[in-house]
Amino acid sequence: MEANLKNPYKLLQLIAEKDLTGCLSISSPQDSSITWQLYVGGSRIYFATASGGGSQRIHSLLQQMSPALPLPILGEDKSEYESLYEWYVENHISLTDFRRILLNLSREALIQGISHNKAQIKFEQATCIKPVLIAAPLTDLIKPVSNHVKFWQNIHNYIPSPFSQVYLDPNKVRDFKNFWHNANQNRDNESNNTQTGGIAVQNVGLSVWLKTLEQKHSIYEICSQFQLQTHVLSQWFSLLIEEKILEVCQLTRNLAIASESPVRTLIACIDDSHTVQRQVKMVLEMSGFDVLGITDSSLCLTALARQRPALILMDITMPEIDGYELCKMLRQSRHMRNVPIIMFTGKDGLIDRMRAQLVGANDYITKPVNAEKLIAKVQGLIHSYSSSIHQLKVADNNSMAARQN
Amino acid sequence: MKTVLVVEDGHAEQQLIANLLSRSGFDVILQGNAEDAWQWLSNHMVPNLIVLDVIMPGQSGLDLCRNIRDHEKYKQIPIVFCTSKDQEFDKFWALRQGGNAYLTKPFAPKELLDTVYQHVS
Repeated sequence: MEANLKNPYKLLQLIAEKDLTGCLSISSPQDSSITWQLYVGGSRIYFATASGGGSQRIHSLLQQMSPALPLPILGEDKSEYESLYEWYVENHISLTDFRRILLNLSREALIQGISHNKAQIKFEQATCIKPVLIAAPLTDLIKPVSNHVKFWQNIHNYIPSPFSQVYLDPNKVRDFKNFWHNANQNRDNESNNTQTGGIAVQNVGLSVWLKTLEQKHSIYEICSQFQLQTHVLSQWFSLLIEEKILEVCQLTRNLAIASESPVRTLIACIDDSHTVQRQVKMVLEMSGFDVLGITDSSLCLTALARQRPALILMDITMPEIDGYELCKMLRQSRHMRNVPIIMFTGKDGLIDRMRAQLVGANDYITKPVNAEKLIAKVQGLIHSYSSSIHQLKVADNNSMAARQN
Repeated sequence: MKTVLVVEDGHAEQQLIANLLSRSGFDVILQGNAEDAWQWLSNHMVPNLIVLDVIMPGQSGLDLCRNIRDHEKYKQIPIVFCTSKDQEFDKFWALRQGGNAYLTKPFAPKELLDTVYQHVS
């Protein structure tokens, strides 16, 4: 089930009504680099998280929830849930505490996910986390935080998500200083008859603010640094953004690097046949893509972890691990779960196509295939994954330049 | 210049509301509890609007609201409740005590400003 610009909460209600199990992925049009993922079973939430933003969210929230605990290392080769589960086991956290942590993490992701009135939504049925440790009724999760959902609905106009990076332009430093001094003046005037010591944004010194905001940091990162809650900081920042003192930029670090260097969109081709590898490489490289050829499926996870491709072409019949199994494994990996996979195979049966769909493949191409069809499929699928649009532009530019030359 | 009395014990919220309103051209008076606010009212002019927290040390915002509505001089002042109590009944009860609007925390700055503009006399 895939839909553009729909209300995620309404879809959650529909899923509950039909008693479906799976993963609802939500990304806002303002910041498509982040996907909020809600693992649901009917009217219950098993886990909710965000993908595309690295470990900053988990670290920021855990620092507030359990400051005494070491922060988990989120492995590239496993899902965030698996990493958290390992962290819980390694640190001998009680099950009750871990459930509380999962609940709070899920609640925060849920607030973010459903506070977009219009979002790009995808529902993958039968996808589930293991082991299921919480099964919180949706209404119980949302009810106590309905005011936070409403708050974020209003704030999203200024800050698409707490992953958004804020930036203070050197030309705006004077405006920021004025704002900061005004805010402090209010505090100084009233300090005689009000309690002090509450966590206020101004408690951080001006020079520290300037230093922090000169670099592009996300709301989560700043909250971690200053021990603030995301909504408190966002309230202040929304004022500064509205007055055009601060600028917001999405999580564009990696994309910016991609646009500055001649990096071409990377396509991985997992096929044990060297002939197929050669053909795919030739066709795709001529169209401006880079191709990562992997002939040994058992070694592909390491190769993919090292270089995350924008799309994977995958054979089904392979000696070590077959395509179905591999696809299923990749869909469980946090690092790779959002990478589109095209099954590229000689098998043409209806059962094969259904099996491929069930394990999470996005498309199916039967061999032999002509070059135009392959390029069209690859480009089409990358286009539909908006996070890769930027990279595609680079590839397009390169291919145009190559043609002109 | 219109005057807004903000009665709020939360330090961060106080600063946020004060900053937001003063930047929008209001003269903001901050008070940290209901008793001080009542004291201020008796010694000063009538403000154009009151932003009022509900849960505060000492008298609650609802108590202050009732006192204001019972007083001939102040009963016309619009009161905007701004609180973390988010149950439907809390809202109903606060408006029943004489509040003109009810905002739940956290609120978006624009939401507060729109409400203040709507009710300011």
